[in-house]
Amino acid sequence: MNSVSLPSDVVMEIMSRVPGKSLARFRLVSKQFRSLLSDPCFLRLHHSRSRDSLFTLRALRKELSNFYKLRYKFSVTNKANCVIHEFKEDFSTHKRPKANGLLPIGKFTEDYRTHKSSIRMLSSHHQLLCFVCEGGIHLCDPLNKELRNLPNPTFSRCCNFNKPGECLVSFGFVDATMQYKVIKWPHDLDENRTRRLPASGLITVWKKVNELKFEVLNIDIVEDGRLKVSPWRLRRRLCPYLLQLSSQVHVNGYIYWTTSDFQIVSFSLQDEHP
Amino acid sequence: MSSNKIVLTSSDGESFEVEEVVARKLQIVGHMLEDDCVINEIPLQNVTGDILSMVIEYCKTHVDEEESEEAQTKLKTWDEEFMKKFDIKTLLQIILAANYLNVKGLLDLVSQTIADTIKDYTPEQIREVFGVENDYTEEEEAEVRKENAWAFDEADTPKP
Repeated sequence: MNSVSLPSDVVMEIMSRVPGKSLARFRLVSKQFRSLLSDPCFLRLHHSRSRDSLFTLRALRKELSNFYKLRYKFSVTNKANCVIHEFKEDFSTHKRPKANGLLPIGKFTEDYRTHKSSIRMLSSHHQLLCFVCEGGIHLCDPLNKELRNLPNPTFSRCCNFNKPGECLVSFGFVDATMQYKVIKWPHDLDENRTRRLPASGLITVWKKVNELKFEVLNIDIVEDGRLKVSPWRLRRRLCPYLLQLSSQVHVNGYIYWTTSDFQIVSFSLQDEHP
Repeated sequence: MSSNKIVLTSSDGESFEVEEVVARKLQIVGHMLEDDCVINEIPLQNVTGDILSMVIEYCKTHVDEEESEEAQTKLKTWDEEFMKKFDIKTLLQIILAANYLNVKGLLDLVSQTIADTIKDYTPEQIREVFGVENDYTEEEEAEVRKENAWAFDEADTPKP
């Protein structure tokens, strides 16, 4: 039987719908196939079509009795409850060891979720999971079986990873530049921490902070769908709003916050501007 | 609504008389009709009669797409059953036709069906089905296989 020869746009149409693992295997088909599957234009299509991939991250936390170390055992499963990736990580802690405990992280989709446990899920984009726990900020790529410990922000005075709930980080994807971005917000901008200035009588004046200082980390998709992490950059932006930074919601490249006077402020991940 | 009939002729000379609304589902035909509205016979050079009849069957079913959830579910079930009839070779013929005739819904449906069918294929099977020549040298092939070793293990076993 003679095989059909398909135009490359039809091949792209099909291949953009297969899972990432199959794609990696199909790089072996031929050189031409490999370059097609590594084409940024194709990767973009594939990333946008795998939006509905739903992963579940489970973490088993074990405190090792000596050296105050924490051992996390993670497993990432897909919709059908197949284990895609399992990994272990050790982190140092200054806390006293407690009994072992299982921390169910629960299912999450594109939505932003906060957990009061010691892991803070940022969000899942396309096929990447980003989370914060004692060891810092982590990026997990279950399909390529990679766990990246992202470098800690360089400029922030303090970022207490032992209380990940207080560490304000956003994670998102910019369609236009095909980049993932991680943004570390200053935690003292949170409404609760805004300095109160006692004024006349019973009235309290909120001091508005006009400048928003934050750090940005770019993650590029390079050849073969691998990720390249750039160093943190410090950014300063005028921002005459009193943001409740912990109220962030991330949708399609924009982060939204509420302000203390119930306005909604958006922040464009692409322009890095509120 | 116009009940104007249009005759579509395949590359092997088979003719199909369909209503204009059905023919317009093929965007290539839609564009021709807009350019010159007196055509009532259209030759389609790149598609054979057996494949064209499948495309027409799809278009007839999808001719009035209702918004209601019930109608959508029914269509979806029909789509699934329709796709089950074909083997991979026929699916590839249909996707080529859908691409040439520009039937968006069918293109999406067939792409997804093919993707689901081939996702567990080995590179050798892909070469055979897609008619691709392996142009790697043995060393290069070993190198690429090593780089992507994780994709070849069978770790995807369901956990209880």
